[in-house]
Amino acid sequence: MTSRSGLSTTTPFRSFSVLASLAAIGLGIMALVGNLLGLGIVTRGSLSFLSSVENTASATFILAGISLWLRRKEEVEEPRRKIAQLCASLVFCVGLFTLVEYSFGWDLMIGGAIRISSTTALNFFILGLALLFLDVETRRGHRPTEFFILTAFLVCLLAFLGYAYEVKPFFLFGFYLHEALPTGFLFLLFYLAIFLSRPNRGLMAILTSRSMVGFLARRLVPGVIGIPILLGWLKLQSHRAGLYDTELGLSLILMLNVVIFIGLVWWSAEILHQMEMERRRTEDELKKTQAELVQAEKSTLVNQLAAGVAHEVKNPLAILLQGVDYLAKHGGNGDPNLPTVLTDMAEAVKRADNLTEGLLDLTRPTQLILGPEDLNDIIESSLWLVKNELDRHHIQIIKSLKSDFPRISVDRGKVVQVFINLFMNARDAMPQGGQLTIKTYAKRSFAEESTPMIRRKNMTSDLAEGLAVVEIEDSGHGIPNEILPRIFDPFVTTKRARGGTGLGLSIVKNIMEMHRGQIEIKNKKEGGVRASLTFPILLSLK
Amino acid sequence: MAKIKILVVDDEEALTRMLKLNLEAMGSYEVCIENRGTHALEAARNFKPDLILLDIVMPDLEGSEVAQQVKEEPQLKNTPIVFLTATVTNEEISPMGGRVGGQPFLAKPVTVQALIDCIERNLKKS
Repeated sequence: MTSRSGLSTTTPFRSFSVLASLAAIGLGIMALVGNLLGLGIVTRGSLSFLSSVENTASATFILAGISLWLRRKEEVEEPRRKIAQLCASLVFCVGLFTLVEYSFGWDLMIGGAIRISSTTALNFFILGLALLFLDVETRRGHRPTEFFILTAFLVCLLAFLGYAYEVKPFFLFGFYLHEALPTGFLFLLFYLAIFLSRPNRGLMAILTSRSMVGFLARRLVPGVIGIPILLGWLKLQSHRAGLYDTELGLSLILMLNVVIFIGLVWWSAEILHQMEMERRRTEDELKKTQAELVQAEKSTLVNQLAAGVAHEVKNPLAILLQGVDYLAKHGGNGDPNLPTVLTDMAEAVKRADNLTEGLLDLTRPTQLILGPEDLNDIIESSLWLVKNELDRHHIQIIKSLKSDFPRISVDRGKVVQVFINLFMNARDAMPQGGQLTIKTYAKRSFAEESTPMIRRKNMTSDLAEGLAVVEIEDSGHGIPNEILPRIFDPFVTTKRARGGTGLGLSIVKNIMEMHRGQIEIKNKKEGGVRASLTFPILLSLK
Repeated sequence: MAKIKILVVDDEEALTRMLKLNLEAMGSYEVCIENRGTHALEAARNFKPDLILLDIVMPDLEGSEVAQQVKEEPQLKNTPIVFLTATVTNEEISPMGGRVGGQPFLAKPVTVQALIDCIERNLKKS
């Protein structure tokens, strides 16, 4: 047995079921007592409708009500279950024996002098079966009770339609189809209550589900039942009033039927479409968050590893450097190559130390020293620091810096580190020279465009008004497509042969995230690479 | 002229040997080596150094705890301590004048010249 309660809302259905069973018991008792004792309120008063319910039917309703009430919960103790099954069996027997009486013309003394109608007997027969098989479920998850109820519902519906459309009592499948309205009403109440008593099972699980399927079913089922009945009644009334003949009436009703159902389907489809869009959006966000989480976990692992490695490497480097210094002063036995060898060794130590410093930079949650800064000014300072390098490589600098750029809250030193890193990457991408284009501009709607992974407490209270964007483009050879998706991962480099450590862009990304900014690196269609950096512009700095 | 007495406390034996060689080769330093943090205080009591070069991450006792012990010792409390460590980078401590939390720090690996400069600077201050 499968329960889908996690996806459905079932409490109101269960409550309705309990109330309905209690109402059936109450009405049954009132009808029985009222008729037996000839109470005025039942025979002539406001509950006179109950007088048409035969005493046998009233008693059987009470039994059915007790059976359902005792089994309002799916898990019940054995004595309770047995009493409930006994009551259900009695209901079933009343129905069965009365039908036998009708079928064979026997008198089995069911109901005494006044026999319940064959329709009522049929309903009791089915109701008894439904109660007896309440918690039975086939291996495929089908519930016989639901089949019984749906069959009985159709019988009831036919009887009700008979009343509504003023049909004279008629024979159907050998049964005289006629039932007192209150009796029919009580049966309908029962079927609904039994159906709703197990909201997590079978067909009801679909109807109560919070999924789109459940939503659609809840929208359509009432309309599918109610609309044709209403239209049929309208047709009948207008036909009786002589408004139009049968052919025209049928055409009009069919047309109305088509219009109303198309409307119903359209309305549901529209809502489903919106739900689907919302689901897709949520799914996309979930995927994105998952990817960020994986990335964060990966970074944490790499960071821990890097910190350990960096620390362990620095001690041997310290020994080597001290050794080199010692030999430089005391190892002079006249070998002319010794100074060169020692200089090479010292440089090798320095290079290894740079790598470990880079690793430590990555791993350290460095505190930012924030201040209101002019981004254009930081760019100019960074360019000044690398100008000689760029000139040496014949790289032309093209600047398009927005003049009245708002100040942003950044750690100047760290942002300089970002720009120098990117300028040096551009230099390496253009060994034969080229153009380095730097553009700054402001953009609005920060909330939609930035989803920073790292939020720092002291910045969350500030309101971001927009984005400051810096674009750095080179005219070089671009980044190989197989590397591009991993370009920010530590140790990913296109310059391994030239001594690249693969840490530069990882550090750049870290710094950007610490500033609640973002960085994106793409190959341009026309060749070369574009790095787009976005920083939040904060209202508090205005 | 009396030599400047330096106590080097570091669990890296080869490094302490190198530091001793390099500093003593200058002629003006006398270096004592201790490779166990737990024995550092005892070594300092016996050696009575003018300055202590102290590693931070040691397996038996952290350098910061050794420094605490030294500062609590009446005869040693004014002895300057320079932390020599692989846990900070030069980039981090240079903007702070080579000091973290008021303590002088040297990031490994360090050249002999940088080491001597730092020792001289801190001896003058004391």
